Amino acid sequence: MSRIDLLQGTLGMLILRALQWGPQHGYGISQAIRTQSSEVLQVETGSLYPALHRLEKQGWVRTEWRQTEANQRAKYYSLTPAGKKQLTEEHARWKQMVQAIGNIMDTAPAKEHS
Amino acid sequence: MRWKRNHRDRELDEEIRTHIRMAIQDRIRQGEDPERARIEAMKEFGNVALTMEDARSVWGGQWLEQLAFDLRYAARNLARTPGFALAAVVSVAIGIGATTALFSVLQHVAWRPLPYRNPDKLAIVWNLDPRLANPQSAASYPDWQDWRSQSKGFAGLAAFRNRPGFLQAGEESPQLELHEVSADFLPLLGVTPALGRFWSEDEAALGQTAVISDHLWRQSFGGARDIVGRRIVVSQTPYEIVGVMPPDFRTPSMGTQVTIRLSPADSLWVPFVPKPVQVANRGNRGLRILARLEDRTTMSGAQRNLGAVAAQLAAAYPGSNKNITVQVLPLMESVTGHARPALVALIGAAGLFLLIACANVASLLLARGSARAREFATRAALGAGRARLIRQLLTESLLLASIGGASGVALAAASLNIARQAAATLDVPRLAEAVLDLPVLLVALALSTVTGILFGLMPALRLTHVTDHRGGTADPRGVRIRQMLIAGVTAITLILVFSASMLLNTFRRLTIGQSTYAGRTYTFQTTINGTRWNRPPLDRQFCDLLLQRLRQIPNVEAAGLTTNLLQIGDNSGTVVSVVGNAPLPPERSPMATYTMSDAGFFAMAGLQLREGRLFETHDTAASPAVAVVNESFVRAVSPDAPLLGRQVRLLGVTQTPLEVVGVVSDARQFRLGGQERPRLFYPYSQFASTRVIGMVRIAEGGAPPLSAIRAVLRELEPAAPMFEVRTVADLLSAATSAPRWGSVLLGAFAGMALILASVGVIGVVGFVASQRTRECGIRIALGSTPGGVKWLVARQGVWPVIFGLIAGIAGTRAAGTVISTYLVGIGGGNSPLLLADVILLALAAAIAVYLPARRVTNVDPALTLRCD
Repeated sequence: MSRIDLLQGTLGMLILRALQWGPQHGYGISQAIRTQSSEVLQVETGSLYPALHRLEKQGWVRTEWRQTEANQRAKYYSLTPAGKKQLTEEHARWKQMVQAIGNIMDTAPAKEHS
Repeated sequence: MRWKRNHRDRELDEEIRTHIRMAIQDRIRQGEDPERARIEAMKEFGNVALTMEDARSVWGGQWLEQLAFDLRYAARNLARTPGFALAAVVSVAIGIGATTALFSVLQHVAWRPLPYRNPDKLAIVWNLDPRLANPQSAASYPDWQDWRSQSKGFAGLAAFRNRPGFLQAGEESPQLELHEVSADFLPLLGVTPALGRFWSEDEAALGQTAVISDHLWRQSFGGARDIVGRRIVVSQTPYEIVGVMPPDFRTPSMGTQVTIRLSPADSLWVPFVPKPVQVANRGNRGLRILARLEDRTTMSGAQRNLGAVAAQLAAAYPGSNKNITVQVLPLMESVTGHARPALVALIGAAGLFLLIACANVASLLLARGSARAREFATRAALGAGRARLIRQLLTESLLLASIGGASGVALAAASLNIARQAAATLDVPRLAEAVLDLPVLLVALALSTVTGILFGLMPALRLTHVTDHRGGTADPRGVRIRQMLIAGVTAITLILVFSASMLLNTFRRLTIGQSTYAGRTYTFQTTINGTRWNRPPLDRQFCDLLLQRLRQIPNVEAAGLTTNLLQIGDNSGTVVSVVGNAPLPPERSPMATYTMSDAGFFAMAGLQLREGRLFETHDTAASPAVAVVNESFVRAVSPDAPLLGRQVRLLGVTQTPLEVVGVVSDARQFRLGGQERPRLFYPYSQFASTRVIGMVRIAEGGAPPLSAIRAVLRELEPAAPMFEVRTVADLLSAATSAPRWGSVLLGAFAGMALILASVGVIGVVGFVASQRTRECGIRIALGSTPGGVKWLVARQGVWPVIFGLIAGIAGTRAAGTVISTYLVGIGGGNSPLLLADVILLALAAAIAVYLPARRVTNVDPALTLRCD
């Protein structure tokens, strides 16, 4: 299974998306992204934690220390209302971009034949 | 804030630990061996420290933290290598100090606008007389009047002239500068009096009103509020004070010859009342003209306009004005023009020093950095980015630059202190005002920062360049450039040291032997103007009585009278002819200065009788007029035939010819380059002057005779003032001020250049040493002697110094010629001096080479071989 490096600027959106189903700790987020992408997307921890802290600083996530199921203390991140709004916006923008890029990439190169 | 950051750090740390723990547990759950799981999880996580730092940097404020860290690290590093730190800091301090001090001087002397309203529109108007060596000359009263009435575009053309005067106020006769100015002169400058007012045109015609300076008001009148309206007597003329100028107000005034300077602190401005002879004679040029241009007039426009007027005058009055043109010179340029080229040259030299200092420190940093190459490699391997390393190195060099800059500012403050002392006797305008003010400090700050980056960046870039981490050999190109720099600095140093020592030597020769009497010989001036003595034969009697009573003062060894303190006084002269010789055309006629004296004066002035006799008691008004001349006079007037017994005539001074009865030696010159003029002495017993300088030498250990002299004068004539009271030592010190400060300045520059050159040598040899330590270890292991290996490194510094010295010796020849042409009487005999200077430099260089070179043999060869 080949892994793909994350597209620049999408990590924040993926993290916010991963948090949509409830609070999660850093390790859990990285695992969630990996499994939900069917092991294609690999989040570097070197980028994950700076990104998490950036989101926290911007007020899109809040943090809280609590016990895991395995009874360990861990720092849990959860979405704030502003984070939810941000996710919706970024998602919309993302869809727009995918569509636009798809338009370009999938159009038959008709001109060359004419 | 700090607590919060620490708290966040702990949380981050724990967060990451948890992450890794979870990853390990996951792996174990999937069946991995615990030990292997731990290793894999760590590997997967990557660089923990870097992740933490990146996450932390999100929160900002981090650069400050890093800066603090870098600064602490840099400070520790510097403290570990104090020799390096000292060399670098001293280099920077010299560069910054010299530049800052000279910038301050240049700014205050030459750049700061003059403190008048709209100073750009003020100018001095000169007559240009092509017949004179320096064509700038003063204006006559009729010229000035015509300029005023016929020119356009001027808001005013005011006349001024000035001379020393004295205030008659009780026992003291404070010296002041008496300015005779036209009524529009003071208003033209745009500064209003702090007290009272200016005088009006009507009052000016009477010439009996005066405006005084703030300093004079405070010093001589105790700052009395009721000063306006008070009547004073200045140089025997009564005035009524109508105004006091604000503090530090100075007007343009004439200095020596044709220079314009700012008026002394104690000044008095009185109306200029032209004498009939000035009004009638267009060739009588004694006025300086201050002009204010109208706002819309440019300097060149004013020049054109006044030039046209001058051309008309030249056509109308060819007798006095033929070929005479005018020059409208901005006031600022007139005041500072003569100082500016020297200052610009000096600041150029200081800037050069700063560059050399930068090169030195860069070289030192490289030398030390090579030794730290492994440290950087390790840190890079541990994940430090190149930018981070460069920032750390730059922090180090900026720290160096700041310490150096601060020391440089201290150095500049000290030098400016000395400069202000020098200003008391040096003719450099506004030098006394040169201080470290805000703009100057800002320049120092900017210079420090720029130098820090300048000398830090190159080494930082090179040291952090990964390929450089292999211990290669020294980059020959970089070393070569620095070696050329060393040769250049060495040559400059030698020239500077030599010039300074030559000046010092000359200066010592000038003043040697004077010290025995100079400190206890007092001079004072008095005048019988306005007293009952002011007519023959009473004037001669006054001198007789004065001399007699001065000699009776207890402790007095000798007393004499003169009108001119030879080396220091006014040396105007007149044309001399020998009675009986064919008259010479005017341009080939010899000129001589004439001085009144008594017989006792010659011994006091150190003049020895060569031929004939001095004045004797039988030389009276009734006997034939006699004169004593000096050897220069004989050489100039009658080089071939004996002059003793011949009669000479002084054009325009005496009708009667004077018989030369004696020849005395030339006076020793105190001014550098000064040359004794042909001089003629005449006895007061035949022609007495109204203004007399008395000289009194007291026995060793005797108390200053000032009150006794004052008592003598008062008893003789209560109205006779006593002013310009000085010791000869004071006068000498003032007269030798320029060479003394010149040698101080040159000496300081030479010392700085010497230090810079030495540090440069240390830097280059140190760099080579650090680059070739391993090579040297191998050589020693293979059987080279330690001395041979040291030489291998040392010669990198020795050759440039030798080349520099050779070039410098050639340079000193040129410098010597230049100095000799200005300083007559220096001549040869400088080879021992030069030799001493070369030895001094060679010694300094030897130490500078030895210090770093000795390091290469300190390493254990076995260790070097085993390394890597």
